[in-house]
Amino acid sequence: MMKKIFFIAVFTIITCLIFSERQIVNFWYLWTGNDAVIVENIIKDFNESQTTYEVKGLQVPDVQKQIAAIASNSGPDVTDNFNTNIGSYASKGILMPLDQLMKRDSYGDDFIKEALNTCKYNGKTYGLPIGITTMMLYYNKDLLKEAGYDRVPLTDKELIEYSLKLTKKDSETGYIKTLGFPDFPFVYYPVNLTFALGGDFITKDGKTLTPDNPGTRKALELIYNFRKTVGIDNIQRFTSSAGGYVTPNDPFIVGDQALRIDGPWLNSLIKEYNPDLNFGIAELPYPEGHKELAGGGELSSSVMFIPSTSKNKEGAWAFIKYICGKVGMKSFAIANGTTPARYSLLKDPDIQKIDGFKEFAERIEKGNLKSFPSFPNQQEYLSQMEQEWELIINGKESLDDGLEKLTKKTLKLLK
Amino acid sequence: MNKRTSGKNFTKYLILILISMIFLFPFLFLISTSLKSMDEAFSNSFHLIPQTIHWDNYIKAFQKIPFLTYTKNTVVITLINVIGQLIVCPMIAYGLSKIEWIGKKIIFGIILATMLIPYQVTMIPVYMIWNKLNLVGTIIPITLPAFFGNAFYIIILTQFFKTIPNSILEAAKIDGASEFRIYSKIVLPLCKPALATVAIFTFLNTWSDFLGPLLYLTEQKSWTLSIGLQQYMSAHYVEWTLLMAASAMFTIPIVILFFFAQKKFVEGIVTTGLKD
Amino acid sequence: MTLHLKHKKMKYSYKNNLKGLLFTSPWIIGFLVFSLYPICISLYYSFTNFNIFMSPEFIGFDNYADLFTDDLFYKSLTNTVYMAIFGTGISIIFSLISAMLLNMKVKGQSIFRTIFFLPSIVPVVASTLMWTWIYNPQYGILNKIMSFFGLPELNWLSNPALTKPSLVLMGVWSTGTMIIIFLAALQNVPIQLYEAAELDGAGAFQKFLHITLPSISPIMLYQIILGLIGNFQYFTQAYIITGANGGLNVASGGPENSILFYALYLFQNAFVYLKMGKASAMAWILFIIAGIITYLLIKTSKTWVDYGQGGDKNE
Repeated sequence: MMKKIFFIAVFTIITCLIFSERQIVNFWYLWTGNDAVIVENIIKDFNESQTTYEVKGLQVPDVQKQIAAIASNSGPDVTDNFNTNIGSYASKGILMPLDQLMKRDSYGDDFIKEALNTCKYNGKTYGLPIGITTMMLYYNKDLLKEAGYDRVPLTDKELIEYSLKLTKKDSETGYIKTLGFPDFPFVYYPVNLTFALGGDFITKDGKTLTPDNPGTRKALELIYNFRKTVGIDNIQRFTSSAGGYVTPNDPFIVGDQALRIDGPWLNSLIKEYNPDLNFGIAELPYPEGHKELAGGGELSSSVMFIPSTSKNKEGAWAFIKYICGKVGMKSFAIANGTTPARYSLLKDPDIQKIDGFKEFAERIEKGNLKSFPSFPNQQEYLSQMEQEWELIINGKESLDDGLEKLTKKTLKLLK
Repeated sequence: MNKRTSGKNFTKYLILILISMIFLFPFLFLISTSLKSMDEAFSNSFHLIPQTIHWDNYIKAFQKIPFLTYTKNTVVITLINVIGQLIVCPMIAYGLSKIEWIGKKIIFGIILATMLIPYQVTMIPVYMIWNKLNLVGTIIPITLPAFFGNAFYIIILTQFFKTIPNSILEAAKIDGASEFRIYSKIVLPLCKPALATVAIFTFLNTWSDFLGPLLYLTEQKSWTLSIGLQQYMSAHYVEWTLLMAASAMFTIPIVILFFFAQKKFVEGIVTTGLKD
Repeated sequence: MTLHLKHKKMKYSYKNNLKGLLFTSPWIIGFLVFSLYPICISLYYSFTNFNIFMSPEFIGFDNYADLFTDDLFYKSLTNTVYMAIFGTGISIIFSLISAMLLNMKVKGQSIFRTIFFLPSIVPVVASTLMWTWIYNPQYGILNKIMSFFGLPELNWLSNPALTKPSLVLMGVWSTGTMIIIFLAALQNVPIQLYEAAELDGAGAFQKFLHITLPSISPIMLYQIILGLIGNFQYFTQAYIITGANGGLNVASGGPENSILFYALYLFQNAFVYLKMGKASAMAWILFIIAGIITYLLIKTSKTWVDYGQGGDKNE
């Protein structure tokens, strides 16, 4: 009799051990540096908060590698990316739609509508936003004061005027010492300026792409005028020998750039690398004479999604619910300065204390923020525009010619 | 040697030294940067010899970049490739030189022709093959092909085998030895120098290979040095001094190998170069 | 009668054929699986739309039509042609001159040989990273040297007009293998030819033109073909340099796409834009172009290449 009980006991214990072994959920993320540390902490918290799943985080900063791995069934169960890729990924079958899971678990009410919209494609939701970003105009207060300004440029006219005055050249070589225009890094800001200056990349009915729009025109004219006056060669030299973007040698962080268009992460990085920098954050300029368009810019979000080849979809979903939940999202936002994508968190006093949060939240409320259109060929659309923009601002091509070419080329992208 | 020729020689010598400088200065700059602090490397004044020598850059490179892991991976993959080629290429070369059969000339011709095919033509389908077999992410796609031979090495060995007099083989055949015995016991030992050349070249090519690991090694823990270094540079924060140190460490084994095996290197290149 | 014919046909014994087949079987299998099959199927792929997540769907000539109206396709072609012509051309000229210099009887010849050869064995990734740093406009050593000689400091890798020449220079630095091959070829030229020419009163340049060049012309042809084919596939260096902007731009071709080479654009189409059908079409176009050029080169080579003694020309 005792023997029987003994065996049953052992059997039960072993079974429990086997089943209590946690399921592994592989999470690959693009975040690096400080952001990566934050994410790992969230992972630790999640693992400690429950016993079913164990999330293993891995830093894979190369988007391509992620895709390649997903495609070959050796990819992660859950990953992060940007909303600007949702359209092209979803249309290619890379992502798993989340609507059913959201309905089943009654999850998703609190998300900021615009942010959630950036995760949709063809009516289905393919990701959940963990944070929204929108670019702001960072400015170096000392440099502005030196040049005689007591506030930021508010309109596009003022932007170019201030920038030219703020740019300082070395007297001997003529090389740029201080960059007055947000021309570094190049990639981000034309899209943001387009939105801020009242343009959009697609018609309201979503049927036609509009690479030639008033916002883009104004933006490109600004950039071209600046570069021509200061010297394109000089700009190239400055940007290619400047310290790396968001490294301790970043030109804005070390005080060599007066104006800068960038996202909320720059804020926390400045605090970390150069806390003495006297800087401020302001809205992007609006077109002269159109104050109602103030506060415009691009709204983009960091998105969590589940690859279609994930081996543990439930585990992935559980983790997403956590990191995009009130607790996870809040710790992420506080630690790295992104704006949380939940209405409830926007009112949270801890969140409101975050540096720069007020400015960001105000702009979201204002409603002039727009998102880059989401459709299968969105990557090419942006690529083609960026390439043509480069030619235009380097003076290799006239504004009209370039935009006309773009209109023709991009006709077939929105099939 | 009259004045004119010694004068001419002098100018030629000068040019040689000048060109040598051009070849050498990148290395000097590499080492110099690898021993500097970031501040010094990014300062406007330039000194070839660093103000303070930062040997710790090399140690830091080891830590920041998972250097040990990458090296281990690279070594494993390289060794497997070397072994694979050494097993297979001599066999194939033997079949194309010492056996009189119907396919001899045709196959050799096809092998030559394959050297002219741009790799892009086969890249995608081969990738899809490995993908369907669920082998992307493993080292199989960049090691298994070594066991099927490589045109370049096969040609080197074939040319080499042709120089082995057939009389030796005839003698063995008369003694009743099987073809395989002749191959393994007689011919193979004779071509040790050529085998060394193949081993060296395989080592060199696999050690430096980039596209293969780029396509097939998805997880960071399986990366080789070439991918590892490139990924490090494309990440946001690049400490150039560490990167130069890591690049130096990546290059050093090759340089060491070269100094030990100079002659083999040159012989191998010359044999294929002059084969036509 | 029939017996006689049978003997004629059976030049090779069955046993030998079997043995030959066995010994070369690894290569044959490898060729079928990794070369022949892929070549054929990639032609099929070029008529489909597919990627790693979607099965191929037949779309006829759409990929080709797309390419022929694609600006970037032409840009990548012209970039690659530039590299093929200037890269190969300058490399060959430089290697030949270096080889001739090395061929002189000077003291320390083997040391010079080593120095010239060493750069070519440095792993491509390492040398590209190194050169990226050398080309840094403000802190790189090249501009420091330029300013030392009073020359302008240039934006080597960010000025669209300079990016390709910078890559060509990088390539010239690694021509060690070519130098060694040329050196061996030069050393194979019989001295009697030179002596005879000197007796006839030929000067140095004439000796070069009429003896050296013709004697090494087969090697020259070989190097030109290999060099061109190699440059058609130019990828790694461009990939590394264009990827050096912090991953902000997933598919870049460098400043104004000046270093968007054919292989790079193909790679982007396949693995970034996930348009493998289009990439396969690009591969086949390249295959055909490479084939035509090789064929033309070999055909016209009969006029300028001297195969001399017993040169059995291989196809």
